[in-house]
Amino acid sequence: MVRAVHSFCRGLFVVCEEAGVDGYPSEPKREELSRSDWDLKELMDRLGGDQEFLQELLVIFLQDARMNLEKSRTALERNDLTGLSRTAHTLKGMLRNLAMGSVAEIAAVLEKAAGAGLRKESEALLMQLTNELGEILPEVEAHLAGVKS
Amino acid sequence: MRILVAEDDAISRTLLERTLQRAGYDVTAVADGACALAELTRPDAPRLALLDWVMPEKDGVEVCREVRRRNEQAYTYLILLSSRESKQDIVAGLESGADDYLTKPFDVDELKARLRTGERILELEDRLVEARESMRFQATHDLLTSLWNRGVVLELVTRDVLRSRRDGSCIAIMMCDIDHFKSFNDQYGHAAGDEVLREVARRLQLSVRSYDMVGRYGGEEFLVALNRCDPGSAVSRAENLRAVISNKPFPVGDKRLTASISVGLALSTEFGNCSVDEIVHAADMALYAAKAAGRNCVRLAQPKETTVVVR
Repeated sequence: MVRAVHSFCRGLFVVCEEAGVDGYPSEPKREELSRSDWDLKELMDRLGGDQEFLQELLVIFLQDARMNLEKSRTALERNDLTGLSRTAHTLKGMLRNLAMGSVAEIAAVLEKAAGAGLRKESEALLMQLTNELGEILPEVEAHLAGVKS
Repeated sequence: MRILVAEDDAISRTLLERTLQRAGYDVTAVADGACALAELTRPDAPRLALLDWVMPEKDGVEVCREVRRRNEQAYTYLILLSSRESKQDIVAGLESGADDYLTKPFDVDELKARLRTGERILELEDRLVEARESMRFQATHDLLTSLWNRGVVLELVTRDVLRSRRDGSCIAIMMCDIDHFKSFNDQYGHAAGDEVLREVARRLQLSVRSYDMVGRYGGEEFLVALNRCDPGSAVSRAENLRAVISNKPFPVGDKRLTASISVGLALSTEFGNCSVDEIVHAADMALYAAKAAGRNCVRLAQPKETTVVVR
């Protein structure tokens, strides 16, 4: 399964490179689909240790990430790649701000691929982004629940 | 200082808002370019703005262009925020009218330092505007009394006489001269004379309506023009001005001194075929008549040779 995903992503990489889309996230290895995507320590350093502010941002993130993911899916269904590029840009910004670096890079490549009009590649990247967020969002919820308790 | 933050991503917007609030700024935050433009073109708009490049409605570059095109009175310092890092993007951003460009993710200390640079530039602009306004005031006003100077008051009167001829209204033009002013200066000194000039100017200014004009015409001479004046009440209004000067003493140092003015009055409707210079001359002749009649009185100019004694 990992090998199949690996070769799929490598093929995607070649297509994107030919279209002038530079930068591509490395192939997802099983061990990378762990919680190292979220550098909570770096984030807390940036926020000066402000737990309350962190919670406020995470609540916004849960809502906005889901909303933008939904907007991305709708844009793709309508073949609105410009719209998809815009929502990917927004997701990229919020993920980078919350120190979710490698997931942010998937959004960054999706932004460029959609902006370049690459529909099939965008679809694959959106699927990857959805999967990644599918892992991270519950972790954020768990963090918030842990802080509250 | 007030600052606008325009950023569609709620996380980035909240981060920026909190960072700037902690740095002492009064933050207005919006989520799209149309709202940003609306905020920046209000009369009381913030003069500092952080604009994300990619935003719904209008992007940051469009907002910059539009703000510069409108060229409002007070300068707005615009910083573009973007994850685009290429030289072409930076050039495009600055060419659109942005004053600075920050790439995301931004460093907080760098952001604050660049905003302080913006504040210094705005302070410089304020000083320049103040200097310009001061020069403009000095060019149009008498510096001792703050009244219109001779050139400007004549221009304004000319404009209003022409307007009054179109709408059929009357302008009462008065030449007012302080009585025995040279003797006053000789007796009490020029500093006291200046105090009296300032006080006469103040009383005249307070006694007319906002759309009337008072100017310093000469050394101790003032030109007063009452717009839309009822010809039947012009003389009593001139009489009121005379009384405002003579009825109350002038505090000069520890003394309470008296002063009076003589007034020559001409009505624009009585001199309908004359130029403004001729009407002002007629008021001046009436002033001479007031002086000859014993001063501290009003004389009305007639289109013919004789003048009418008022008191």
